[in-house]
Amino acid sequence: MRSRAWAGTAGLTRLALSTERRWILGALVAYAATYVATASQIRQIAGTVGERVGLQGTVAQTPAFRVLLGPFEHPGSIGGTTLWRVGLFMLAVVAVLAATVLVRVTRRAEEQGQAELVGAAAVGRLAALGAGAVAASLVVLAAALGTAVGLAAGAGAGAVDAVAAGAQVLCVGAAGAGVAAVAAQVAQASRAALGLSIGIVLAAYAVRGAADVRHSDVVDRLTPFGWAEAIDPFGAVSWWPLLTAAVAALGLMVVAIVLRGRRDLGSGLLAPRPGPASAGSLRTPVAVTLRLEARPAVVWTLALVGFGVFVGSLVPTIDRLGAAEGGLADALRRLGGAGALTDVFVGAMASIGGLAVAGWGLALVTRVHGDETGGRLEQVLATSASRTRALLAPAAVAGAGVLPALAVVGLATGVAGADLGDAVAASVVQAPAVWVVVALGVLGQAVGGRWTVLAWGGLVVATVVGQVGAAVGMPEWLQQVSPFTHVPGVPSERFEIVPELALSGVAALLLGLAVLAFRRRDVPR
Amino acid sequence: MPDLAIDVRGLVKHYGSTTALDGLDLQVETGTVAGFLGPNGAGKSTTIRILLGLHRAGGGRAEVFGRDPFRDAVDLHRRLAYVPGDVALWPRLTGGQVIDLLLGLRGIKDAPRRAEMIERFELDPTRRASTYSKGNRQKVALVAAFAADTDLLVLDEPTSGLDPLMEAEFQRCTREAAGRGATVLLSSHILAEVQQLCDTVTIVRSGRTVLAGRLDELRSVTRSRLTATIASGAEVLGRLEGVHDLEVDGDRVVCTIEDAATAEVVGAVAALAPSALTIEPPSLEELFLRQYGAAEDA
Repeated sequence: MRSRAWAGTAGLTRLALSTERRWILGALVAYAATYVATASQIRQIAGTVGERVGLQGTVAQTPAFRVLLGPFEHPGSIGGTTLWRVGLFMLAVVAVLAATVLVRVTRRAEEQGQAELVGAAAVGRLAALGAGAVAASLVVLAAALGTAVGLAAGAGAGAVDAVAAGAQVLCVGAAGAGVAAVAAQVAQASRAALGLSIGIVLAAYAVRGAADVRHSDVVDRLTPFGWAEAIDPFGAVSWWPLLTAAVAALGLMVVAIVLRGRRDLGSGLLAPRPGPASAGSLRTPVAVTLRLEARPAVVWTLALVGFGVFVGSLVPTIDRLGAAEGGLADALRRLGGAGALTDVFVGAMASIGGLAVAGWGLALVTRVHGDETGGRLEQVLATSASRTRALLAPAAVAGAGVLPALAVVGLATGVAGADLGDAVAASVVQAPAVWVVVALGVLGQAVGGRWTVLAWGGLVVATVVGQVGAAVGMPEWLQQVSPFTHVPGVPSERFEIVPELALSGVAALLLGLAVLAFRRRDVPR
Repeated sequence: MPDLAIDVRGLVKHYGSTTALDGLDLQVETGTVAGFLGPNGAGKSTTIRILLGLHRAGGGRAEVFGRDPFRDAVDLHRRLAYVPGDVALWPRLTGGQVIDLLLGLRGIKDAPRRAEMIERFELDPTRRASTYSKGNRQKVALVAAFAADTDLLVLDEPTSGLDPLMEAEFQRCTREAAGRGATVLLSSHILAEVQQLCDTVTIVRSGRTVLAGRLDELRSVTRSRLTATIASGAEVLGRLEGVHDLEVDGDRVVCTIEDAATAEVVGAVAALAPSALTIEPPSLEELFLRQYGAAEDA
């Protein structure tokens, strides 16, 4: 009977490859591009071995950097430095990517009902799991290939080191897929399955971070990240950790297979809990937005606090760096303008915090598009709720939420080490720029159709032009495109009200345009 | 002993503390069209999921073509086609792609009636599934089901969202499939549809079978109701064959009549010069409501 349970795996795998193709190709391109771009950035900031050793002795020693990026052990080559700079983060990303694809092919298909159609065909019980495992493996392979190619092409890494860095990706990616395979059996909702997987990946990342700070290799080796670190590209390369990862991934797959064999299609151990039988006060678009966004808001707040604490904890190190005139200090000045280095740093980080808050606001307002394609917006508009209210309810919640969110970043930065007043001020002055980005997002939703990408496009432009543009010396007029460029550079510069009012005015204008556009178009478009 | 395509006896299924099936019986003879009726939450879809091997039976027996639907799911599925009531598709695939995919997954390479069915159901196979309305998504599953010969059709409220013309087309297709010897299990809320298509019906409620049998037999239990206004002499109707439960109250006359006696009784009533006459046909609805009403009272 075993063999029958896998019947149809080939067919479902072909289907999965066509639905997940974008993820696989995307992983390849994104990983290669990230390593090429990071290597070129490292060449600019710390082109010489001396500069990199300096980096190793200062910034890299701080607990914040050890938690986030891991130990910096091989400053000798651009490749080793590049891998330190983004390697661990990209490992966490590949675990999440593998989990996402596996959950999409397995649990999400069950949740949305395609699995029932498929299950009624000559397809075995384990076929979807098999197809998911193949698709997830291909995403991991693509990311590993991208890593190796990116490091070889961008950083001039040798074949052995580049392949070893790819092997790190295989280690963590396989573990991520294995965890997701089990999570997809345990959780009944696909979001819960993905959330569980990501939670486990982040927990492993945190355990590894703590272990790196305490220099505890034993604890470190308990996580897939530790296995990856043990491969040690650009050092004494070892391939044994690959075996550990393979055994772990296969073990998790076996657990998933056993669990799948014992449960009904669509069921799970963690079933969504029943909720209230009546809506209570949940009767207006704003109330619905608040209810649905409460849980994401908690996650975002935690992330923003984490960011603030990270930035704040770096301030003492930046103070020490103040005297130095290396490439790093110059790079920081380019980001944040003139002034004392600490103030420049706090201001520059505040604008990155502002971008993160804008990301939260956009995630909130772009829900309108999901509601539209999901048919929910039609139902809302079929009631007495006006188009303006349906469009502006999420915008109002996001717009109002920006201020406390920015204050949270500033407070966390201040409490963790920066001057509290400066940090909060530097963060809160970003609000009008965030409003512009969010308002652009609302306009995208209002126009609808393909224009909904306008929302994220605004954020991408603000990030590229505002952050990267300054670092790589983009022309001044181009940098002016980002609203964040116009925010006064508190605390190193004086606060000015005029640009703040002007940005707020632009945001209001965009919202007005959004209302006009949304009033006259077809819904759904 | 007739050859049973579906044989379910005393089927039990619990989901946590809720009982979905509580000793359900369902027999479908090979080559017949069986109606499967019941209110929402009665256990129809649960039964179908067990028959498809998607869920595991908690107790009792369920067999499809004499085999265990859970253990032999893959083999059995080569012989059946399934149409759910709410068809979920892959938004980025086109309707035509999905049809081929579903056929391919059943192990069918060349479906003889694919083009014909697409035409009959007026489906545009080049459109992406995300752009289909509910009715069109339903058509995709129906085309895939009817495009190739199959031994068993499992249809779970297959016409929800279809317009009346398409519903008529569905009925023709089902009849043709039955004519080719397929067995059909049709779960439906549309009683007229079941009445038109089905040889037998099984009515379930709260996870149990409350009534099962051949539709014509069940119908004869439920006779047409005749109501007339006749000034005098209505008592003679009581002597006619096929007239039951005659009540005469002043000029108001109520009785039930058998199908076969309709013409004779109407003739007799006409001779009595009625000023009003209604005959409510023997409907499944009456049968259905009577079963539920009775259970509701109990």
